[in-house]
Amino acid sequence: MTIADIQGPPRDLVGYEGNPPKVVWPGGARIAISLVVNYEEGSELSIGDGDATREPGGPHYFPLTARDLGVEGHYEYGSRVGYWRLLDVFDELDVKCTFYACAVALERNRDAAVEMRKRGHDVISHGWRWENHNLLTREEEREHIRRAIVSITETTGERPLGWYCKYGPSVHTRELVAEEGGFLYDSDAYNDDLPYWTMVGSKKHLVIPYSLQTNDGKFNWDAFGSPLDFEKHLKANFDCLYREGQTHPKMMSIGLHLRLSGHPARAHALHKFIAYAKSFPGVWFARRIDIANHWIEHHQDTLLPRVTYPRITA
Amino acid sequence: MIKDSEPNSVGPARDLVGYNGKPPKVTWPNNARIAILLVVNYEEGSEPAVGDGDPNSERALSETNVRPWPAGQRDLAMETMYEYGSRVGYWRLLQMFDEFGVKCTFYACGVALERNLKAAAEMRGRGHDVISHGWRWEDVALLTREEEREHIRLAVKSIEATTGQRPLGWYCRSRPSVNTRELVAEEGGFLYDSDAYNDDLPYWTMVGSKKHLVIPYSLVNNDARFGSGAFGPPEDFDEHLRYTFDRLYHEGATHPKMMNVGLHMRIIGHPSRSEAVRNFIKYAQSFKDVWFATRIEIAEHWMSHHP
Repeated sequence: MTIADIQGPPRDLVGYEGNPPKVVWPGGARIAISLVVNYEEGSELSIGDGDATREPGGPHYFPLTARDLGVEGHYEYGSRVGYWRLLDVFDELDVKCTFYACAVALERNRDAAVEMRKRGHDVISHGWRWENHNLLTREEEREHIRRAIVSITETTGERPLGWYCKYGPSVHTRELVAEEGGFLYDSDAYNDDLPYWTMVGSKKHLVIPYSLQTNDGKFNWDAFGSPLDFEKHLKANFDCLYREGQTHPKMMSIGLHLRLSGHPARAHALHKFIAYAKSFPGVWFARRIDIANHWIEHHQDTLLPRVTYPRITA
Repeated sequence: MIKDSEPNSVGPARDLVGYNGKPPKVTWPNNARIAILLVVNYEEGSEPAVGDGDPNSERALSETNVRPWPAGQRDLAMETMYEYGSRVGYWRLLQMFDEFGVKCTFYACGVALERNLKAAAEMRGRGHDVISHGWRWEDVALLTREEEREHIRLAVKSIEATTGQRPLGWYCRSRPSVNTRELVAEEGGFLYDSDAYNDDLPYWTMVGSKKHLVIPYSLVNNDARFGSGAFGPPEDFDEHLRYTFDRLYHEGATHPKMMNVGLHMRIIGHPSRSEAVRNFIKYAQSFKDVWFATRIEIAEHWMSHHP
């Protein structure tokens, strides 16, 4: 096997090489904060939906091949309660978020779906279901992308303009997203503090990286315990980027889940962080579509050169 | 294909006694009470990757807990989490060290530097120290003795080419094999290895009939604990480092010691956690008689004062 045989986007370990572009965010903001709420509940693996295994979680002795009503209940809390609480938090503090929405999840909570754009939030596609794209064939994946668009257009009134897979893309995702033609960008990358352009075939393609670092997912595996863990983590991240933003404004993605941050304790931590960030001048709470439009308009020149990626030679 | 004909060493003898509660009275330069060794592991791009012909994608030390992944498939999420380290984290750390006027030691994997030549050139350019962290970021205990010897040779050659000088120290991924120390000593150009976690001070040991210097490292004062979830918010690390410092500074009134701080670009290079290192450096610099030392400085000091 040679590098040429490897499918998927080439790796880029170099990026902006310590010289990121001097970004001028709207209003001269020193930092762009992208609040992301993952809307997944109801589209996860489920025996009731004919899946061979259920969504993992709960006690380890319990088989993955049987319904776990405990785990199902944890997820339901997200769409039933957490969702509305987070919407209230955002309204109280007058900030807008981006929903990473799984299509099937919205089909099962229509009022919630309608409310997203109505309250001024942004909605991108997080897949037809909350599923691992690396397990699909290229044809299946193309079909699931198509279904996701049709469904989200129907439930929210507009087609999604951004794409983000569960956890990570397959080696085909970026090509299929570009081929579909209606997306402005994807967020299937964790490798930068700023958006960048890359090439997909002969087409320029925008990437707005996301983060599993500033992400409440760490509650799920006990890396975070107390809500203050998350709050302190976010504040430290903000402090650093705000300082750097004096000369080089950056972007901060914050990943949230209805079934995690939608609980009162963690929603309170989120509220406190947002209030903290808002107490500084020059802070832009941006939806991903705002960032995409800004980048498309002002930073066409940030196409990263195709890096040489030497093969390993002994 | 290299033939496995050479028997493995039985490995270094265990030493559960060490300095036996009576460590040497070390006099660091300028009578410092503590030597702080900032270590930055430069691994990104040399970890196991399907794209490099490895059977599996890397699973360790990222932003998620270890999750199963099908053999033979690229894990693009993991790959880009690693890329963050060399693209962004590296430069953030360099800038911070410059700001505070401290030097670090890079534990560099040969192949990783080959894939980011500008970063490689910058290391020594900014006054930092570079030692070998292996040809690739790999578990050398899974190599035959011959393969390991060859990988050590490749690492030395590669790092010399990318950074301009050969490495003078050696540290394996996680743990050495039973052969590593002998092979490092046999190679002849290394001043020491850091494949030990068993002391607060350097020490000499015998490899065959040859005296060999060990400068122990630490997985306790190490940001790797974020990767396992043992540390949560940046403050966990900050507090941990300050407590280590406080105790060693106290002991250093009579018996100066060494403090390792292990860092990874893809972990500590994120804005949030970089604040912990920043706060710690500021804290340590607010005390008198604190020496931020590179490993080569420690090695040279030990060789000239504590042979």
